[in-house]
Amino acid sequence: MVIADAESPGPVKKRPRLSLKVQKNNESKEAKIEKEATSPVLENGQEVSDGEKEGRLSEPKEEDDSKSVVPAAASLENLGNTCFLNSVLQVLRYTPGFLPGLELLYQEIVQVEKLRKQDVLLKEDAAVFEPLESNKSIHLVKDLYRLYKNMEQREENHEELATSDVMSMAVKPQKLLNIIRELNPMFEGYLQHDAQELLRCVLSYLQDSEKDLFSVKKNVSEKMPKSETPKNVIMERFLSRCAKVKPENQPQNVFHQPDILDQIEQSEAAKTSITHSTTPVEADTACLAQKEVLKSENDSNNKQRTRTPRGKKANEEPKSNQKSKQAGRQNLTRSKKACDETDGTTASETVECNGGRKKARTCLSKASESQTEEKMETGCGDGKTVNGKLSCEEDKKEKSGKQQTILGMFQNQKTGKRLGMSRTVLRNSTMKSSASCQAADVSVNGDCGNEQRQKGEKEDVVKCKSAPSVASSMNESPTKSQSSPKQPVVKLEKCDRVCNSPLKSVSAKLATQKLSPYKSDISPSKGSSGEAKQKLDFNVIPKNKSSNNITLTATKTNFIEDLFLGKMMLRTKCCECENCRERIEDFHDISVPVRVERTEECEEEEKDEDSDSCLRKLMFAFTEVERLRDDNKYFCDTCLSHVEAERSLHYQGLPNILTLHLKRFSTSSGLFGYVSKINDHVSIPLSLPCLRYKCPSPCSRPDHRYLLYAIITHAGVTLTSGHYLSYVHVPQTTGSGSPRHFLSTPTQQFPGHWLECDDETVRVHDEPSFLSMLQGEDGSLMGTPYVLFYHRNTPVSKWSAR
Amino acid sequence: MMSSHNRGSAGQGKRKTQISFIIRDEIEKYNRSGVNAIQYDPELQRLYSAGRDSIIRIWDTQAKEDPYLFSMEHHFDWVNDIVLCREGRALISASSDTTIKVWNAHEGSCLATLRTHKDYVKCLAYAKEKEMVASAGLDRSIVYYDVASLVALTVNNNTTSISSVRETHSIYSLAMNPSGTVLVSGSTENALKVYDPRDCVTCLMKLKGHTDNVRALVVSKDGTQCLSGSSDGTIRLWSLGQQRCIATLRVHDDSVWALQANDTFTTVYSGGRDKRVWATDLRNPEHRTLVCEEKAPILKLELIQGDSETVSRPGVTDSIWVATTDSSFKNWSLDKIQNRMSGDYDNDTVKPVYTQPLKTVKGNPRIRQYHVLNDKCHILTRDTEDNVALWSVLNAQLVENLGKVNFEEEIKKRFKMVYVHHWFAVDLKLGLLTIHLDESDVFSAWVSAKELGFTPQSESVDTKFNLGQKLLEALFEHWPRGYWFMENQEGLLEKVDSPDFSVPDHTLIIIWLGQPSSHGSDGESFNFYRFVCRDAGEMDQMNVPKHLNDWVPPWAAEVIIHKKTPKTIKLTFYLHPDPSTGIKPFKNEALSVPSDLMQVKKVIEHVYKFLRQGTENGHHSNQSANHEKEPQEFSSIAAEKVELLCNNQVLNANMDLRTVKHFFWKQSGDLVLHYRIIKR
Repeated sequence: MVIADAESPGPVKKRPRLSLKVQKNNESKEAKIEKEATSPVLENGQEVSDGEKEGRLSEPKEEDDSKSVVPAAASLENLGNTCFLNSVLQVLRYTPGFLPGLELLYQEIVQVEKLRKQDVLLKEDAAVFEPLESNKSIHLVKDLYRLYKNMEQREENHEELATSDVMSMAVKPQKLLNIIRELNPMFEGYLQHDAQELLRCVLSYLQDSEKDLFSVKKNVSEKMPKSETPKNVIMERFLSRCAKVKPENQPQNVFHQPDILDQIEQSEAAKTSITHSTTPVEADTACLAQKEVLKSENDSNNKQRTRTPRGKKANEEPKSNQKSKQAGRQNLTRSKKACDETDGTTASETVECNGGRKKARTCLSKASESQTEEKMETGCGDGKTVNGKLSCEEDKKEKSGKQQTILGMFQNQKTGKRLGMSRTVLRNSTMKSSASCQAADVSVNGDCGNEQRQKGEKEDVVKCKSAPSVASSMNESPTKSQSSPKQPVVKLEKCDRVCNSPLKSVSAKLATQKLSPYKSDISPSKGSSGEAKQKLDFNVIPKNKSSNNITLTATKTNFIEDLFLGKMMLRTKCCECENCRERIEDFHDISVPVRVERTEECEEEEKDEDSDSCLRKLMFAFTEVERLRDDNKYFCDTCLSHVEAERSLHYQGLPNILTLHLKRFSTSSGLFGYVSKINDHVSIPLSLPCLRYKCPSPCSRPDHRYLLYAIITHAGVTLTSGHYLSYVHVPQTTGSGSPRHFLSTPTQQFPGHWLECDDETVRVHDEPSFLSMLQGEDGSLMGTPYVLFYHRNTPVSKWSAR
Repeated sequence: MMSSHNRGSAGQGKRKTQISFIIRDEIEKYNRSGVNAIQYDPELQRLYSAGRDSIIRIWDTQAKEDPYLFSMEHHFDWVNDIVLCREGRALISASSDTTIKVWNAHEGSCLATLRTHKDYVKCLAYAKEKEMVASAGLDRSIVYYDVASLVALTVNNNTTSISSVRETHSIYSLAMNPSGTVLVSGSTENALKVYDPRDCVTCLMKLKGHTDNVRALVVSKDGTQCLSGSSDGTIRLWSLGQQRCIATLRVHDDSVWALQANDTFTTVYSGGRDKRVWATDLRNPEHRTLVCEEKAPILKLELIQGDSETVSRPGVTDSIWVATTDSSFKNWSLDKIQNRMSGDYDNDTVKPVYTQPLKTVKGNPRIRQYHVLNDKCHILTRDTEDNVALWSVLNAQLVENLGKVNFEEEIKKRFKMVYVHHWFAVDLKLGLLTIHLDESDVFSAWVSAKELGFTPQSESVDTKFNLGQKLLEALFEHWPRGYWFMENQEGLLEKVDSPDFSVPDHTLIIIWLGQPSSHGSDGESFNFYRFVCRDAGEMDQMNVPKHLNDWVPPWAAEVIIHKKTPKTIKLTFYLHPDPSTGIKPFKNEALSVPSDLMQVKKVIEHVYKFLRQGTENGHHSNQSANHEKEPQEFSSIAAEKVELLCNNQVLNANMDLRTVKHFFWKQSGDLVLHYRIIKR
């Protein structure tokens, strides 16, 4: 940022305390909204899903009638000129990959804190415990997380909460503000601040917290004997909460039906063996075990045929699939869905499978017996187990942070395996219809595959593109005989899971696995015993957690860097000997001058480039060659003399999130000591071309392109006055939707729409109308674009591999 | 944030008011560094080479043994280009010292110095038929001169009418046709600009096509065609009539830095960063041949055509002189080139036609690395042939040639546990040692006379020398205003004393003086004065302005004329008893000494005295008497009884405090010393 004079709140410098809000446009915008019917409030919150897009589209119209209700997107209350904070928070919330990263970090913090408490208890070494608690940046993470959580809850409970009053959906970021002020006193007082500066601060604090956490983790892990004691302690704590505390080995109690339980035990044992040794062979054995179980269960006639072949498939497929990790799961889920559909189960089920949303839960609860839920909860320390399937993820989020931690722990593949196994067992026992059997089998296969893959690679997130084929193959062979297999295949292709870190991915896996059993249950739920199966899954989990701890301590998350860090190369070329010196530098954002000084040199170039977007021109002005000449010559090591040189910047490593900061505030153009704002119109393209210098221009790789997803605008005359608001893009949900175990944004409600977050008020614009606002020079956009956020044109899941 | 970028070393190009001198032999017979330009005089069969070592040398190409004839040394930075005019009688040179000089080529005397440019002058162009010269450089201007008027310049008639064009980019190449109808410039704009020298203001056209700096240009005789060599690795043939590029030759793997074409403009010879000389047939660009391969990037080519109209001497065949960044340069035959042209070459496997040059003018290695030794009086250098040498700064000469030894080891071997402040800067751009003295730090180095090997002539034991002062005295030894000159009875200045040091008579001294700029924009403009040490007393030689007085900066004049001793550097430190002694600190004030040269033993004496006062208060008078009588003895006693520590290390009594601070304290804050009594 050019200037930070807001820091000194001397009497002289006092600036108007109120944010100037541009109100005039509101009405017209609201009208627009109504017209376009883009702010859907869901009648039946439960029913919304990707599958139902059509339905959703129609819903908003219904909403129009009750236009008094604010849209189901949480807003942030202005606590006195805190719009700079609100705009940044909103943008971060919609930053792809940010929420999962945050949640993961949060979970880790919680976990580490527990570990340390344990440590303290054990060793009575209170000193060790202190730093983490007092670490403000870690507090920031927690508060940020809670804030988003809070926002999410509002959105979930939109139905009950929403009224015509904008405050009904507003959350107070008071705690967060406090902690930020503690961290950086600059933000104290009620002056307006620079949103860009705040963003930088927040991100750097988050980064700090990651570092701190890592060092703490190291400490803890070093101190703790690697033996399982500490882990077990945690486990026990978890378990102790549940009324029925059962060590992992005793899952049987949970089950209603003793027979089934036994079988499950067997299968689990087999699985556990697998877990310990990760070789595919074992996996096979596990599968075999499953088969056996299935056979033994032969309650239903149809199942047998399908199972055996599937089991074999399962063995074979996993190996082939090992490369693609989680994808398998997703496939499973989908395939399950598909199966469900074929079975004639309701659309709602599908929904549940996809998003694992609360709505889904409710459906479940309806469908499945209430008893099951209760049992599940009690049986397993994690509330997730309950409906098991769908709701697991959601429950975790909603329930206490501890549960979330658990989720984190679940990451192990092993868990997944077990779950899958248990599911199959359950299904077998319960399934009466052939269709249901298929689903179960498929899921089993998928699970096996997943597990093995996971073993092979601990990589984080997988897109399912490769996976679908597998899944489809699985589905097809068994399914064909029974019911239409085509649908599932199609759906598989859609699925994209967003997971940044390995942990997340694991949890995602878990979630999917859980989901899958659920479905199977649903179909059987008509029958009696579906519930029991679900419970089984969770018993196994605790073990995994303990093992997870080890891995957790070893890994270091760095999601801020993963998201925002780019690399530039600074190249200096001697004009005499033409040797180059290159230096690589990191950058987090790019400051783009709004006014390019028109030198004679670039006159001509400008002529040819009229077609290009203005922003792009500005950006390339930034990388223009700087000549070191006259009194600023360069000392060349080869020539041993001061020579002319060309210094140029090149984008080398592209960040996943590209932050462009338009330098709208400058002292130079204003009066002495006065920061003036350059209000020049900058046309903002929805996508940016590849910036990498190594790529030929135009670069053909679509994944090097950038898509606009958020803008922070500023209305007003100076840096220290005026009003910030943000426009954020709600991602188009992919076919399968993302698993809902992370903090979420109202993706389902407004896919592909743009939200205008103006403190308490959130307005919804659809893409075309937003575009016209963006391009309009008449200021239909509130304020002038100030900070632009682009994300790479690739699924978030691939970002970790920088 | 990326918006702030560290400029790093880039800012050092800025000039300061300073006195520089070059350590060299009296006669530097051979090139020390790269050769930027070559000109051939077919009449006398002489060769002129413009060296990066600032010297223009004249060579006799017919000589069997030693081709060196003489040097023209008035530049003091790279000579970037030279042209031979008036049928070999006059030479014009362009240098990075921002000047253009006009020489009598036959005698080697400098006729005039033109300060028309404000930055490095990179290139010259010559129109033979009109006797017209153009110069251009990094100050982005092109200046035209009439050679006849240049030659007519004398000290008294120092003005000439010139016209100039202001460009937007640094110009790296320039060419004119013999009739002077077309002038082409190449710049970092990556384009050619064509001017009509008769109307020097307007740019006729701008030819775009290159993607990097244009480093070499040749214009055909009739001025209709032009060849350009660029850092983008291509050679382009342009039709000036059509204002377009007719052909693009890709013969080099790297930047093209040098071009020559034959008179008929049918064959182009090119050289560049890839160290190769190619001959290409312009009528059929596919036909080319690799003439030779050099060992260093090629800076310039000079084509000698045996059958040219001007020179039709029997026995002279086509050949080409190749100048590189290496100090030697070679002559290669072009005899068989025409026959060998063919189209299918793979640059990786092609073999040059010639592997042995016809002639080689050898050069001396250039210094490419230096290390200032701890005593800050000596410099260890390594040259391009890995010879290591030891130089004395105070004497401005070579101390010892160590031969091909390990540079790093020699540095280690010469390490002394002494710290002397930095007081000069070293520059190697000429391939020779250039020392810069700058007001800001020139007087910061003090050493005791003993360290310099001076036996105490008189007075006290610890005479201190200021190195900068001593060196300035030596450099201006022949300047009559120095304090060592006194007026004798006849009113003439006579040398009555001589400085403690002396430098060789031939040492070249340059004074850079900043002056308030007359142009206003840059704030300060710099002017320079160059003289040879022994000439400081001469008042009326041509090119030496009468009054050195006007040039010597005040800070130098003070020590030279007024014999004013620079201030020593104060040092403050804290003295505490070592915790192990159990003595209570007697005071916690900082002690201040006038010179950081104070030796540890002085401090020890102080401590010892203090302790004895404290413990044996009664005998106070006795001790002081003792002490006064036998200071030597006293200090040795003190050294036996007390020792000083810094950061828990015992200090050598002969070390001085600044050395302690640098090697033991290693912090910026005030030095803290601890003392303790030695127990026996």
